Amino acid sequence: MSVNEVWAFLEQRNGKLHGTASSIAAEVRRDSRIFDGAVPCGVYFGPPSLLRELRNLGVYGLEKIYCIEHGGPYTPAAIAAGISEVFGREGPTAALFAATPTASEVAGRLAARVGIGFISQCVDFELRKGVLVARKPIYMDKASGYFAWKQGPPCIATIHLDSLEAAEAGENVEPMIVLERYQETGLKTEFLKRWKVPLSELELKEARVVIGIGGGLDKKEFMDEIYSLAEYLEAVVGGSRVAVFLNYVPLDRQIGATGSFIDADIYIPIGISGSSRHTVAIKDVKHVIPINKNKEAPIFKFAEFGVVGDLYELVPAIIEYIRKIRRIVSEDESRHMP
Amino acid sequence: MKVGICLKAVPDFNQAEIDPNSFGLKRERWVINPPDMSAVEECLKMKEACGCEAIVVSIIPPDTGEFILRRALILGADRAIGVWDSSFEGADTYAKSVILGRVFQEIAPDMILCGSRSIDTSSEVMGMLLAENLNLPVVCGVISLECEGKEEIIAHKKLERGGRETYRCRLPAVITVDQDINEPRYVACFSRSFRKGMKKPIERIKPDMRNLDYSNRTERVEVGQLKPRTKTGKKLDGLSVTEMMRVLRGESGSKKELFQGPPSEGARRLIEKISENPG
Repeated sequence: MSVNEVWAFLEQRNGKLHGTASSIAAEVRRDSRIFDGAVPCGVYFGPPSLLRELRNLGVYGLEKIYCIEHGGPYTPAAIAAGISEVFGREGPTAALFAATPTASEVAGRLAARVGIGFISQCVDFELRKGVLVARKPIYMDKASGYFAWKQGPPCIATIHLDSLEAAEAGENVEPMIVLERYQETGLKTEFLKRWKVPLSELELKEARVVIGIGGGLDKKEFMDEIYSLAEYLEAVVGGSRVAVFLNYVPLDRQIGATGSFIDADIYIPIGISGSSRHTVAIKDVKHVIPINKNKEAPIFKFAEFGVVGDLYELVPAIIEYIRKIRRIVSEDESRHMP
Repeated sequence: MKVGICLKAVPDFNQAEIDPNSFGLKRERWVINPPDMSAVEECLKMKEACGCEAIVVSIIPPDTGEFILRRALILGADRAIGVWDSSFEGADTYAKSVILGRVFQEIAPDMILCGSRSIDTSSEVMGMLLAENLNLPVVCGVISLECEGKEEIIAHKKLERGGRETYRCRLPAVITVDQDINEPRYVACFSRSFRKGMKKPIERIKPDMRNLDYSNRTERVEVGQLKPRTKTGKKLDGLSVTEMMRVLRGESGSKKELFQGPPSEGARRLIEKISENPG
C-alpha cells in the first residue's frame, strides 16, 4: 500500500529533539507541493517522553507524526531498522533527512535496506517534465549537479544543513500522532558507549564555541585567565598567526588562511583586529562576538554584537559574572531540594 | 587476515578546471579519493602492527586505472585489482556496490575499508550498500580503529561537535573511515617501497555479473553553475551593490550593535548574547 506522504526524520539526542527537527519539518512542508500535494509527515524514533515537543512541531506544518517508541540505544542501525519497517508498510513518496552524521547514516542504511535510490546533500528540488530532480553541489562545491531518481518514487534524500531553515507555516496544525512499536532483532554491531572528546583535545573545526587570541594581548601570563574563561564557556582556544608567533597558542590552534578554518556557532575573538587572512577562516561562523578596544577594528564588521573595551578588564569581569550566575543557580537548586 | 579496500578515482580538484559553458572538467588528472586514501593508510598501519594482506579494488577503466592502482601499490598495498567491463560505464553508487559485492564474494576479505564519502559527487552510501549486499555489519565515519585480535574490532565513530560513539563488531565487517582518521603517508620517488610497488602486478578482472541486477538507481541529469538555495530569511533584492557584497562576504551589515561602557555591564551583555544560542 502506498500513500502520498513526504516524511521528515525527526532526530532526537539525549532525550531532546535535535535542532534540525524543526527545520526538516519546515522543509517537508515546503516540498510537499513539489511532491504533488503530498501530506507532510514526520517520523520519530526514540523515547516516548517527547510527545509534547513532537506536537509542537505542528507550527512548522507537520500533519502526521509516526512515533516509533524504543528504549534505546539509539544507534543508526536500530533507527534505520525501525523506520524501514514502517516505511515498507506505509510506502511514502519520499523520506527526507537533515545531513547530520546520524541522520545521514540512517538515510543511507534505510536506502540500502529497501534498495532504492539515495541522493545525499541535496540543496533544492524541482520538477522537470514531471520528474523530480534534486540539485546538489558537486566537484568540491565548484558546480551544481542535477540528479534524478531513475525508478521514480519512493525517494530518499538528505538535505544540506546550510539549506535548511526553520520557517514557520503561519497556521498551527495539530499533528496526528501514530504510535508504533519496534522490537529490534539481530543487530550486527554492539553499541558500547557515547562520549565527548575532552575540550583540550578537540580540534578547532569541531568546536561549538571558539575563543580566538590575537596580538592585542601582550602579557603571556594572562593566558591562564583566558583558559579558565574557555573552561566556563566550554570553548576551545585558538589564535591568530600573531598569537602563534608569540607562543600563546600551539601551531595547530591557528585560525586563519594558513591555519584551520572554523565553523563554530559562536566565535569570540579577543584582541584580534581582523585582518582578511584571519577573517577568511571565520566566514562560516554563525555568531561572532568580538572584544576589542578599537571600535574601528575590521573584526566588528563581522559581528552582530561586540564589546569595545580593555580585555584585561573585560575577561575577569566575564569570569566573575559567570561565577555569580552559577552561584545563584546552585543556591536555587539547593533550596528546592527536599 | 585479508583487508579489502575500495578505491574511487576522482579528478584532482587542485588542477582541474571547470569549463564555464559546458561545466565539464578540463585538464583532468585522476587521484585517489582522499577519504579512500585514508582507508589505505589505516590498512597499512594495521599491516605494520599485526600483519594483514592489503587488497585494493577499484572499478575503473584500464587507462586511468593503471595510475590509481599503481599509486596504491607504491604506498604499500599487496594486491591491486582493477575491475572493468564496458557495461560498467556510468554506473552509480548502487550499481558499483553490486559489482564490488560480487568481487568481494570471491576475495572473501575479513574486513572491507572504504572512505566515508567521495569528494566529487559527495556520495556517502557505498559502505552501507556494500554491507547490505554482503550481509555484513557496518560502522560508518570511523575516526579511530582498534583491532582486538583477529575476531573483533572496536571502532569510534565521529559525530558533530566532538561527539563520539563506540561500537564493537565481529569480523568480517565493513568500515567506512573519516578523512581525519590519519594523515596519508608520503612515499618518495625511487625509495625502496616505490621500487617494490612498481614491480608488483596489477590484476584485471571482469566479474561474472549474470543473474545480478546492477542497474542504476539514480542518474545525473545535468551539471550547471553552482547555485545555493535562496532562503526566505535572507533577501538580496533591493539592496545596493555595496550592501549586497557585504552580505555575500558574510559581514553582518547594518544590524550590528557595539557596546561601550563599564566592563561589568559589557560582561553581562556578552554572556546574555552567548546564552541566546544554546547548543
